[in-house]
Amino acid sequence: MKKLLMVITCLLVTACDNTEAISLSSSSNHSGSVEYSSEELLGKTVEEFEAFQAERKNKDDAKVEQKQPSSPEIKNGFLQLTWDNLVAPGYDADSILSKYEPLIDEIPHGSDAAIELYLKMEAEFNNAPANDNFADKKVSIPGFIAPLEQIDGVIIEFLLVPYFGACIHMPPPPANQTIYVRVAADYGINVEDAYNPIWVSGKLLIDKQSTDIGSASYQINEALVSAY
Amino acid sequence: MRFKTLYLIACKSAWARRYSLILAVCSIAISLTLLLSVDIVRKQAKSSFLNTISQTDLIVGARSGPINLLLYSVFRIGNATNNISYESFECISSDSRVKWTIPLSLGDSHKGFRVVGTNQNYFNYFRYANKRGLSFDSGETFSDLYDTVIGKEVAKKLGYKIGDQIILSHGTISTDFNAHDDKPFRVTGILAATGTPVDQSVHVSLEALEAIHLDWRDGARSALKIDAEQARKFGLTPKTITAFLVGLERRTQTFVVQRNINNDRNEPLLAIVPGSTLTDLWRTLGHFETILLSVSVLVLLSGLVSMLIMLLSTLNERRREMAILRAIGAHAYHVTALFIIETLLIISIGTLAAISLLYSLLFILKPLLLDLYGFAIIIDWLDLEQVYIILFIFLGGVLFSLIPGLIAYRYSLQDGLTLRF
Repeated sequence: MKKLLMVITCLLVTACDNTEAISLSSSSNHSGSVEYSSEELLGKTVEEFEAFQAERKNKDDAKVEQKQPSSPEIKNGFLQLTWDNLVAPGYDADSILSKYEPLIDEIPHGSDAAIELYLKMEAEFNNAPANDNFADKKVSIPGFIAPLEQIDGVIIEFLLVPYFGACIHMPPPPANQTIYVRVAADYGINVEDAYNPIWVSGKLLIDKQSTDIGSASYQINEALVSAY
Repeated sequence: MRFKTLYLIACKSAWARRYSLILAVCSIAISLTLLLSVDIVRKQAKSSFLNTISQTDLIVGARSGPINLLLYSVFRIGNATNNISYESFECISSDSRVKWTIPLSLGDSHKGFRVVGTNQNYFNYFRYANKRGLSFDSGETFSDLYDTVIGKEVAKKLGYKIGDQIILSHGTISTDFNAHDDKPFRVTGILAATGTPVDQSVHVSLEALEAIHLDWRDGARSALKIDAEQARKFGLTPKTITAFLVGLERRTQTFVVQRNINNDRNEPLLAIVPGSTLTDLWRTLGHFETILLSVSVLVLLSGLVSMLIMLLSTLNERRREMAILRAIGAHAYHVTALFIIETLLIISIGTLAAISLLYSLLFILKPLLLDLYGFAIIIDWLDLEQVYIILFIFLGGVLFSLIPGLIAYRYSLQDGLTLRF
């Protein structure tokens, strides 16, 4: 009975410990989240749990190393990118999290300092720089659209995002997971098709003059659009 | 037998049965007019709806729903759930990523038209229908506290001209007991028609709205009266506004700024991307458009079917006619051709009638629709899709006419000549 109680307390503490981590990773396309399912933890003693945690951490670290995006292949003269490719190396959720891990452990839970730290981490994540490797390259990337400008029901400017409903879903994706697209003539999208995934191809520009320091701004002008 | 002869025979035969054929022509004409006019109204409603706002990156208001915010801020439909503080507006306006902001303060009205409290940015930065800006039909923007700029529709419907005095009402319905009659406004400008809700708005400055509400406290007129001239001496900086439009320096920053506003820890605010919300709203409304269109397609089909019924019902009485034609040397396919020619005649006359009916209707209804609903139709040539609709009718008509044609084809030569007792 005593053991069980300890496990429960331990669980609670870990849950609190990971509050920031979980909400942070949920805003990063659910990649590399550090959640533990309760089935995995129930019925373990404290020692077992600690060992388990250490093992998971090692696994996660291994995952971080593996996660370095593989170099994309070229098809019809366009680099086939994924959204992971757009994150500058070292700025994914896991890297930021591990950077702040010692601090998270120090600060008491629920304190103002903790909230501040969370905001700081979130800001770092949201303002992550663009990945220069693909600047001015001809790329193709699939995604969903958040319409910005239309003429008589044909969308001619939009933000390309990795998941549907980005403008309604809270929070919206960070700057380096958004591409501002202006379509080439005759490549406009009918309002009726606004919910379908598409491929966007064109020269990927990085807006260096962004007013936000370090914030990424991807842009594709004269984009070619096709159905996914 | 040459085509010309066949054609003449078909015409003469049709003329002999002209009364029932006229009915067929009418049913084709009416159903086609319905389909074409539904198609025109559908397309124009869609573009006028989607063209209501342009070049605006974000709309910010009190936290409610995105569609609600879009409806009251852009379409002036419905009401805000709450106001937002003027400090929040000023704070976001001064953000380095923000190029311009247009404040909107709603809630008052003038004879059924909404009053919009705003500032000069409204006339400089507001864009609609692919980056078109507002321009003045006559007069100029407001400079004095009690000046107002009205939309084209307001001026037309109420017969206002520059220099006229108008009285605003508290709330969205005007009566004489809720009027701000102690502070009349002078019309200084009339905006050119835009085909958007701007046409139906009365614009005043934010300070003016503040001034007329000085002696309204806690939602009721206070006993303490402050007249128009005294009001000028008060500090008239607004405390709250209803919503504001935001234009950004860079559109790439849309989501970043939206996130900042939505996460504002001082005040619960909601920022929406108007283009995306407009698309969402249209997709909800778009179903009605599909239903309307399918109903009119069905009406057209029933028009074609009634023509078929007419052709089939006369088949029996025309047995003698067919038999005589066959007896004097017409081939069976000539008889079928007669039916096709007759159908093409009916549909051609029906289509011509439909197009003339459509355009006369458009010309008659145009001023009425604008007057009653503020909906401006643009009268244009038929577009490619509408031409396809007409071609489809011709094709469908020919296919339908093959049915009586083939039945007549199968009649034996002597069928109509044999006397039956």
